[in-house]
Order: sequence, then C-alpha cells, then structure tokens
Amino acid sequence: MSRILRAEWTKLRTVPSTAWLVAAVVALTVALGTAAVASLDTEYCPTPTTCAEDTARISLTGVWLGQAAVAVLAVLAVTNEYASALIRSTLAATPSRLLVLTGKVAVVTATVLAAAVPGVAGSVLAARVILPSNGFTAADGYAPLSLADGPTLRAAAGTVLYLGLVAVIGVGIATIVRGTAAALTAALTVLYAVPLLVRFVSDPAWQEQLQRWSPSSAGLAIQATTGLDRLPIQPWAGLGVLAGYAAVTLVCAAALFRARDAG
Amino acid sequence: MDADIKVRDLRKRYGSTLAVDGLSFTVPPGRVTGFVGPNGAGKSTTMRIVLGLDAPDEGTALVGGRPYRSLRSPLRHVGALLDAAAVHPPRRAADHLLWMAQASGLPRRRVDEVLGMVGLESAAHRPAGGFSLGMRQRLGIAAALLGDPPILMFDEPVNGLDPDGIRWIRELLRSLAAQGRAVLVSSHLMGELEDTADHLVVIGRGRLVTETGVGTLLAAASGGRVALRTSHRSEAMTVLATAGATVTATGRETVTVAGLPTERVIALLTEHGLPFSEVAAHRASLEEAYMELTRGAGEFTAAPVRDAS
Repeated sequence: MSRILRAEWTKLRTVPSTAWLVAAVVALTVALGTAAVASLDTEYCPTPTTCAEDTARISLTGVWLGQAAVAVLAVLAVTNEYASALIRSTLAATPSRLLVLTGKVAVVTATVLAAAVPGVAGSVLAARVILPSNGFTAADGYAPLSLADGPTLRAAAGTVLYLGLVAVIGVGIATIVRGTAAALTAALTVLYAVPLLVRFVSDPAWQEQLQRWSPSSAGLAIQATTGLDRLPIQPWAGLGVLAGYAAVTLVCAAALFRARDAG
Repeated sequence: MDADIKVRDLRKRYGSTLAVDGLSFTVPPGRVTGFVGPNGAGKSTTMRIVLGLDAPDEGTALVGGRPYRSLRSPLRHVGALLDAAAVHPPRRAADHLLWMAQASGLPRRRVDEVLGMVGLESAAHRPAGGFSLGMRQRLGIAAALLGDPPILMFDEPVNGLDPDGIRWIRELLRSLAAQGRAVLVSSHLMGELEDTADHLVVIGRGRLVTETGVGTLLAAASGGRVALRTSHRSEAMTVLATAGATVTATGRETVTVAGLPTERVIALLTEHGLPFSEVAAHRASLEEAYMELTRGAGEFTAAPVRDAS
C-alpha cells in the first residue's frame, strides 16, 4: 500500500497543473467568501438573537467556487492517464486495480483536504475581520466569528470534509467515464444541476426533497449554524447523504475498473 | 522463476473483431524472439494480454510460469515497451521513471542508471512531452529496463529511431538476450529483425503462421533456387526449361532457376554456348520469406494497382 501511495503522490505532484489547481481551491474559496461577507449588512438583523443572517455559513460561500477547482483536480488526476495511455504503465507497474484506485483516491483526497483547510480558515478569518465594519460589532452584541464556537467549528470542519468528498466523487466519476470532457461535465452537473434546478421548481415540498437528496445541497447543510429547525436536512445527515453518493460512485468505479480492459 | 513467456490457446475479441484467435507460442530465455505479422495481426493485443492489461476471452498467458496480474512487483519480472506515447506530456522524464520505481519498490538510483543506459541523462529534467519520437522510445525502453527484469517485451521499438538509434537498439536487444533474458520484439517489417532475432513467431489474423528459427525459414524460402545473369535471357530460359527447370524472369538479364543444381545449370549453358556473367545460389531475404508465409494473412490486403489506360 505504501508503494502505491508514494507512486501516486509522485504522479500528482510532478504535473504543474496540480499546484495551480490547489492554489485555485484556496484562492477561489477565500475570494468568493470574502465578497459574500463584504456585501452583508445588518438590515435583516434587528437584534443579534433575531438576526436572519447565518454569518458563519455566508463566510463559507466560497466553497461553491472552490468545489469546481476540486472537481477539475480530481477528474484530471484520472483522465490524464487515459488521454496519454499512461494508464497502461500504471497497471503494468501495479496490476491490482483496487490498489491503484485506492491509492489514487487517497492521494487526491488528502491533497484536496490539505488545500481546503487554508481555504476554509482563510474564509473564516476574512469574515472575522470584515464583519465588524459592516455593523456586526461586539458593542451591538455580535460575538466575533470564531472557530472556538461549536457550530462555527462544525461548519468549517464540515466544509473541509465536504470538499474531500467532492474529490472522491470526482475520482470515481472520472474512473467510470475515462474521458476528460465527459467526466468534467458529469462531475459539474452532479455539483450544480440540482441547486440551479430548484429555482425553477415552485412546489415547496418538491424543493425540500430536492435539497434533501441532492449531493451539494445536502452536503452543504453542514455549514448551517442558525435556524437548524427550518433546514430540509440536518447538518451531519446532509454530509452523510453526500458521503453515500461518494461511496456508491466509488463502488461503481471499482467494479468497472476491475472488469474493463486497461484502455 | 523461469524467464519465459508461454501463450496458450489465446483468444480475444473486441466487439465484432476477433483480434487473437487461438494463438500459442513460447518465448524462451537467452534469445531474441521476433514477433512478426502485418498490421492488425494481433501482436499488440497479445502483448497487452501478457501484461495483464487486457483480459483474454480464452486461454492463458504466463510469464515465468505465472499470470502477470499475480506478480507483486511485476516490473522486476517483466519489462515492456508498449507504446512510446504512454507518458503524460508535462511530467519530466526522471519523474516518470521515479513513480514507476516507487510503485515497484525499486531504489531511486535505478532511475539515473536506466537514464544513463538509454543515453537520456541530459534530458532527465525536461518534460517528456517535448521529446522527439526517438527520445520517447528511449524513455520507454528505460522504463522497461527499470526493474532489471529477466523477461522483456518491445512493441515496434525501432519506430521513430534514426539509423544510429536503430543500430543501438539492435545491440541492446542482442546483449539483453546474451545475458540470458527472454526478449520478445514485435515488428511489421521483417527486415528490421533480420540481424537481430534468432527465432520468429509469425502471426496473421490473430493466428500462428509459423514458429521457427530465422535460418530455417530463410533456407525454406530460398528453396535451392539459382540466380542467373545472362545477356541471352530467352535462349537460356528455353534451354533450362527443356531440361526440366522452372525458370522465372526477374529482370532484363536475370532469371531465377528452380529444380536444377548450380553445376547442371552451368553445364547446360556452356553446352549451348550461352554466355553468362553470374550464377549464384539464391539467398532469400527475410522480407521475401515473410511475404511468402503471410500472403493472405493480413487484415487488409491491397488490390494490385491496375493500369488505367
């Protein structure tokens, strides 16, 4: 196992696109989160206790962009091998398909988690700095955004895990589809289709079902820190739904990888 | 572990194409075995199956007596050059070899050693995507040599190499065999193997045409024929044909005679006062022998070009 991990890590770090995509995960997450927090004011917050704004969740909005970079990183790690026939060298060196897939998933996911930590921490830090100047001051009773606060920590750590699960799904889809264009389309559809579709569904009951069972909407329930009773799905259950999708994708990928010729 | 490749009753179908159809042969150690056949004959498919990349529908392919997929460190047992493009272009040559070494638990110094063996030291830190086809071939050969394996397979290794490169790879193949390794080299051009291979596995349409020594094949193809050069071609042909030979004109002044020994040909010509400038036992080239063997065995056979006028 250690051999395949070392080999896959060498493969991932020795293509220049990996460093760019890791930087993009951090930068896009922080940038969009900062922009969202900067446009926030206290209009819907008559008092701290009746405030309708979930500041922790809004500070983590950047995950909507960061996940696209994660999906690209995860997909390319697999489809580049098929595009260049490198997969033949990979499977000649390590004939066990399960070992190759496990190594790939582990290395890509670990890299994404390592990128997600500064991305998420940077977002929370930026919000902590910006919010007071938008009226969320300690003098008015708003506690500064802090990872020492239980729900905020859960939202932040959960967002890191969310991006890790997106990486797993990306590797799984790419292993199933094998072509770069098709795999990227499939991965981005999985992440964005339902959240976009929900806007066109007028029936609230249907809306709630869609949000409860779609990978990204359910998974990002982990970011909620206020109004939990009104959520379509509870935070950890939501992340569990996403983990379920990741597991199913991975099982399908493993079965196909084993059954098919190397390509 | 024995250093050999044993293919038995191999069959593989891709969709409606039967790529390999009941193929059996053995690649013994200590020799260069040429694997020849027209394009589409099933050479690459067979090599992919030996490497466990594709699964056969029927039959077995064993390396050193074991299926490839059961090997824990396969690069230590079998080295293969399948296609020179199997490198991700942005990755540097040394990094490409490094991950392969790591996957097989080989020490990092092997990377520098094999780069030196193929003459790519100076290009080690350049992205492989910028390599010429010849350099990529060398990188692929370096990868095959990485685990110092007793069994080696090269699919069309001469492709894209310049004359120096071709000479280099011939010497390399011969020296690898001389060290006792089993070496399988595929080619669709027989001539490429003429000075390299000792043994030939000839296939066509996924089937074995023959498995034979190079010398035996050449002797059979030559068939005791005599090549003759004379300015009196038609008279000579008449005389020899009357004496029972099969005579074929091969040029304005040259004929090939089958069915008569050289001495008898000379005696007949002298007897009839026919001058000649050359008489020699005809030596078939490997290319000729191969054409003879694989006639009709190609996937696509071109129709003869017809004169439009």
